[in-house]
Amino acid sequence: MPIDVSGISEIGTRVDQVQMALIWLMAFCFIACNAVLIYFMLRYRRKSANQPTADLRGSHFIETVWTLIPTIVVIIIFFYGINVWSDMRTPPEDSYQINVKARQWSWSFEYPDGRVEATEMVVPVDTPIKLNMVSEDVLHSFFLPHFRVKEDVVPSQYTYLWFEAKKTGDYHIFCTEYCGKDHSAMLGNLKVVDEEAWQRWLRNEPEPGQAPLSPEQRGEKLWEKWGCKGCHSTDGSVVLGPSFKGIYGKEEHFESGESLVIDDNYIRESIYSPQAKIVKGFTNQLMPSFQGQLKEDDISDVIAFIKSLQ
Amino acid sequence: MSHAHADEHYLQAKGFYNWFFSVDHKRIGLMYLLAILFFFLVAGFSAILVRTELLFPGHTIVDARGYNVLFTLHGAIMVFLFIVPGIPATLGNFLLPLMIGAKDVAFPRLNLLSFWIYLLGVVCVLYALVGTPWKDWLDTGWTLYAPYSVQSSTGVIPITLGVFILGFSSILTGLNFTVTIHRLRAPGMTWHRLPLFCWAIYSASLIQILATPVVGITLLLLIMERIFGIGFFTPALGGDPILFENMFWFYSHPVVYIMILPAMGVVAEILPVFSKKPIFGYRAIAYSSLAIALVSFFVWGHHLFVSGMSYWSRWVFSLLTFAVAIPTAIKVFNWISTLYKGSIRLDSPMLYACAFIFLFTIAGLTGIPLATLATDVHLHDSYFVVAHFHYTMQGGTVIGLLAGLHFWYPKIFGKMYNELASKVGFWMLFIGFNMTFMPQFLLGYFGMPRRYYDYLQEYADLHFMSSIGAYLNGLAYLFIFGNLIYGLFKGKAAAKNPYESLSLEWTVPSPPPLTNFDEVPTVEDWTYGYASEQNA
Repeated sequence: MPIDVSGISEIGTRVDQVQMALIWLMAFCFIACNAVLIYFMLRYRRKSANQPTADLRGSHFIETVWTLIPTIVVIIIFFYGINVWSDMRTPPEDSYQINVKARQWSWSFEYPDGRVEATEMVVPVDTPIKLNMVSEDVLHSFFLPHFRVKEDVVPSQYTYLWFEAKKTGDYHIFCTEYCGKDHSAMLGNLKVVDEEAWQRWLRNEPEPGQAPLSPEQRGEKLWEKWGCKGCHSTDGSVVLGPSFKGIYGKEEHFESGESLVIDDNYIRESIYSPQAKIVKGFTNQLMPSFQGQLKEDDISDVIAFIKSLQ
Repeated sequence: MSHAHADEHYLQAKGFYNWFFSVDHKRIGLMYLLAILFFFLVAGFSAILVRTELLFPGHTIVDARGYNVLFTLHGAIMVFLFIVPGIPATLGNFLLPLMIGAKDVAFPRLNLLSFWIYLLGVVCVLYALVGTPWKDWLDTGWTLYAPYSVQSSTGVIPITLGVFILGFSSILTGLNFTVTIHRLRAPGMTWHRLPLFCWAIYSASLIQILATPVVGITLLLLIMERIFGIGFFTPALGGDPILFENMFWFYSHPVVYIMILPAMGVVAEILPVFSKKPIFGYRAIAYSSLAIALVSFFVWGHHLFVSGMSYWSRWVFSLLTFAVAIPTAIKVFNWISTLYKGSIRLDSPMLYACAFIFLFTIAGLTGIPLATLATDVHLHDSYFVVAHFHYTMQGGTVIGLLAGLHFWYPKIFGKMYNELASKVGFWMLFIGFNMTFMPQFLLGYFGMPRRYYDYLQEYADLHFMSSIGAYLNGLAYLFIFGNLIYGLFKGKAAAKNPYESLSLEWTVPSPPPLTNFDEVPTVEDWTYGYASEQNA
């Protein structure tokens, strides 16, 4: 749980300093007001029917004082907050840029070399990262709780945020703008790696001592990462789309009245143009296209994965 | 009711016709009260279901869509059917004419019409929420953000239509109260003798008249977009989704002050009576209501702090938002000072009023990190906001409504409730409420986003605690309302003025006669001359 985030990023550490100052201020005001309130409630509790009460109707002096004090205090807080926030909104010129795309209900990350990743964003440590974000459907919001930064992801308008990790590790990515059914499953992972691992990742090499994955395993990873599993189960149960279990090589009937045996070409077509042949009875929730996100190599991995589910 | 005798009290008439077609402000207020409390319980029950789903991570009682439907149900009913009409339509309707020495509101028939319009809106909203097959129940959240609300196959059109209709009810009530306060004050009831509850209702009415049309237009545009495909909010049609957020909050931020200002007014009435002391800083409290109403129109942008709005917009809206803190702080200081050197009796209305101050300081103070840009970015759309909002709305408005209900209960019904039982209910509520929402401040600070069906294991303990608190909170309401209902049948007859208030509504019998006052009263002094030692 992102409680103490000091040292993970400079901005996050500074945000928490502001937060701590505000917590002390809130605690002080809360205790001061309510201590007086409760003291008065007890001290002036009616003990006899004719307990005398004072005819105090107000005081210009006191009103002025307790108007001025909060005014001065909030102006100070305002500028204190602006100071940190201003840096939070100003990415360094030399930031490494990643394009973030949001859709119901997954994240994808496009790197400068054209590489596209889903769900997990790998970034190098000690490097300012600027995210240029856009949504393909409804409103989303990209939130890195450990870094204390967040910005909505809007269709047809680019928004941005930036951060710089000072510690390697895995951090949450949350969607924080309600976006429909699986809003709470629209999670991601930010993986901050050291320079050496970053270079290896860029060259697409497996980590030392790890065997390369088989096509079926890669396909399964893609199925998880791209959110396919939100609608397509592997155990025969129907979620929103047809289950993958046992469909390869099976004859399927479509909304158009045609029928076809499910093969490699059908799977490829259904990933790139999902509306071309819709299996009968599955028109409620239309699947988005993954054109430009899953590459030909990925498609063959997915096919291998579906084939393995007999 | 031409045959009504002057001494006939308003509760005597029985039968559907005598109530549903009555233009008497007291009967209309009571019908509103019945309606909104019913919806309060319905929406409260859906909150219990929401908290039950969140007892544990993963599936507990419903699936993801079911959860989204439940929180939409909770939010939409609470906001549109309960808390917007809220105190003004109930206590306001009942008390405003009595407090200013009038026989009724300025436009009694318009008053009845606004109740009927409210019921029509209720039908539309309920149809959208629960009137269709389960798969079409609304799941957009009460905020109806585009473009999700444009694409959703659920009942967006009926609910927008319903809220549009409810808006007229709200505008007409606001208009009626504004004119009533301007035109129907009894001789001698000058603006500076006006009870603070009336000042609060007046301020809220101004917001109702000025802000509600904007949400009407917004929702009309949404309907046009859905039916005719005209691009206002959907980018694919050339629209702008941020425009919807701006227009929606231009109404929906001021509306939270429609909700809270009358509750502040209730508290300002109760404190002097139970302290036997003049309200401290009468003019400061009265004018700060107006100031809050005014500033409320210029702070909607803080709902868009992370929406992609421009740098300087965020800068300006942050500064303006802080401006709300000042009149609010002034009110709190004045309320507390009223108790100083008083003679305080802690009956249940006073307990609620003091709890209001206690909880409202939490609500107000936790607004500070949300107004501060550096910290809001992290807290925005998290459980911290949920907790802050519920401290203002439940800890503020609902506690204020309960304070008022307990205070004016003898006047409204002519009976007394059981005082001991109401104190038990109060403490159940106070503990249950804090146990529900305190953990949510922490959840939000630790990064838990709002409107999440499922959550990570690390948030489980705080969620569990919050849900247990919610059960106690819910139980408390059943207990409190049970006690109030029991009092209607078995309660002792109430005296005319059991709490020795100096306000005009207590000069008429309990329950008040149909015509309120036999003759128009003349007001000689302000309402708050309670002190035993004059000019001490």
